[in-house]
Amino acid sequence: MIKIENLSFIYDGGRKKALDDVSLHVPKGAFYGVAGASCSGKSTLLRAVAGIVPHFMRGRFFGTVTVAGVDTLSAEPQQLARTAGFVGEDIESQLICETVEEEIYFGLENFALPHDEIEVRAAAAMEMLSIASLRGRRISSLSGGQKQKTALAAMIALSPQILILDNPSAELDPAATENLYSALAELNAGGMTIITAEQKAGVLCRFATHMTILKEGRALASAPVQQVMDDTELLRDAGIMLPRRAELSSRLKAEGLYSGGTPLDIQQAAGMVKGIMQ
Amino acid sequence: MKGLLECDGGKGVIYAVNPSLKVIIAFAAGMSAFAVKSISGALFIALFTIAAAYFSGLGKKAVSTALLIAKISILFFVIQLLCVRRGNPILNLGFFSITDAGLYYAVMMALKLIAASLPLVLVLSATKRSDLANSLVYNLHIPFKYAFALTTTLNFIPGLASEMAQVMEAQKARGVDFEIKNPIKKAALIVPLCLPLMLSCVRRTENSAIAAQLRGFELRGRGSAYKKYPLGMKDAIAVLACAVVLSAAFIL
Repeated sequence: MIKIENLSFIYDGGRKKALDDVSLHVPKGAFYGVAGASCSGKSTLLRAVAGIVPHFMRGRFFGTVTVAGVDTLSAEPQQLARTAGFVGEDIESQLICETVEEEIYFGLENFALPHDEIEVRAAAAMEMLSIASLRGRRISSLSGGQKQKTALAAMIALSPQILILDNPSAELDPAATENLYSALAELNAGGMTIITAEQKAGVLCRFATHMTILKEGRALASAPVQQVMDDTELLRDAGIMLPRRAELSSRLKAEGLYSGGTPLDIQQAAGMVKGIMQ
Repeated sequence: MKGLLECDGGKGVIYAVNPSLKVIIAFAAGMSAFAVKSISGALFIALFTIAAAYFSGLGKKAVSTALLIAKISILFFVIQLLCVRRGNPILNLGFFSITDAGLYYAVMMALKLIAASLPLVLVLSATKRSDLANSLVYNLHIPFKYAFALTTTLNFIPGLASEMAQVMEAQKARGVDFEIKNPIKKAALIVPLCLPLMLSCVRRTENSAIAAQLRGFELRGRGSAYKKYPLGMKDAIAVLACAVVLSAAFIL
């Protein structure tokens, strides 16, 4: 679905490579997590997939990015818009209308969808992210988390084949993060390919199927999530804070008490502890 | 009450008129206010605008806006008052002398400024930006990108004001005193904040433009909007009322 080959990018005026020879293949229907410390290239990678880099953010671009068979370098980002929906980290600047309802209608109107379909899709997206009660509210009166959900609902309503999210839980509390990722998992189960950059590795290892670890613009690993999470040294080297269950399993392994894979969720962690106790 | 150009979604007379039409009416009223030759004509337009605002639930906003414009027009008032030499002197201030003609033109200038600005400010305060953009596309066949650029520009002003308020709050928390009475000292505190604020607003506008393009903004056509904006009887009545009022203003 997304094929990145030997991608390097240097922003105009920059000296360092924001991305350095990154290759990645995101299969159709995958829930792909991108993790790494700050300035590791996560946002640039996602912008390249959405076509923002290099069309809107100029720089020196090497390699190829193909999204659903379309080379992002030759296609304009708006041509990709219905295939790949992008929600960036700076939520404030992505909300361009006055109210939540107008924001969600905006993209649907642009693509000239039939009016009854606009309403159905907008209502479903708001329902999915539990913001139906905010429908008539002014954007300026919303909290950070509500704005994040609104931006996401506006994109979900367009039903893109691929959803690209840059740090979607940045403004959310743990419960809202859980709800958001459950909604994304639901969309993924419906066939939508999701690629998300996330600071919270614990969330990614629960919901993602695959993961890429970036460090200083280079991809250290791209593999199924279990394989990546088992390499705790690599995660530490990339500056990623391990989830507590991964930290625990790592220490138990070091003590020779456990030899299985890193538990990806709390049930697996409970199973690991029970196994050791028995 | 919302900010100066922010629409609070009311249901009065001004809200009910077609968005494009009311902007045209407001422009016509503004041009007429400059064109009338008497104080009574300009006053009539200003009072009619305030009355229309009152019946739309915007009475307080109209009065506060009129007062704000009056404050701005003080400078023009003083210049006019001191520079007009024609007429009979009322007061002698050494090099300057205030004449009856100077006083007349100064009052007229201030009133014209109020009468010319008030209709447009109130109309924009009673029109959602999306309705305005969609109506400009639907009724006046203006390409969406231009209509959207216009409404985005209008949003820029309240956005800048809101960011300024936030920055000032943050500065107050660090002990900066913006409450000082001396206007020069106050300006010295505020001016250094303006440039970074402008830059951040421009950056945000650029990011918003990217976000809009990623949501198919350039594909939008005349029939794309969810809402339609047909002209009806209430719009015809508004045009008629405006024509009558503006004609009366020229006669007075």
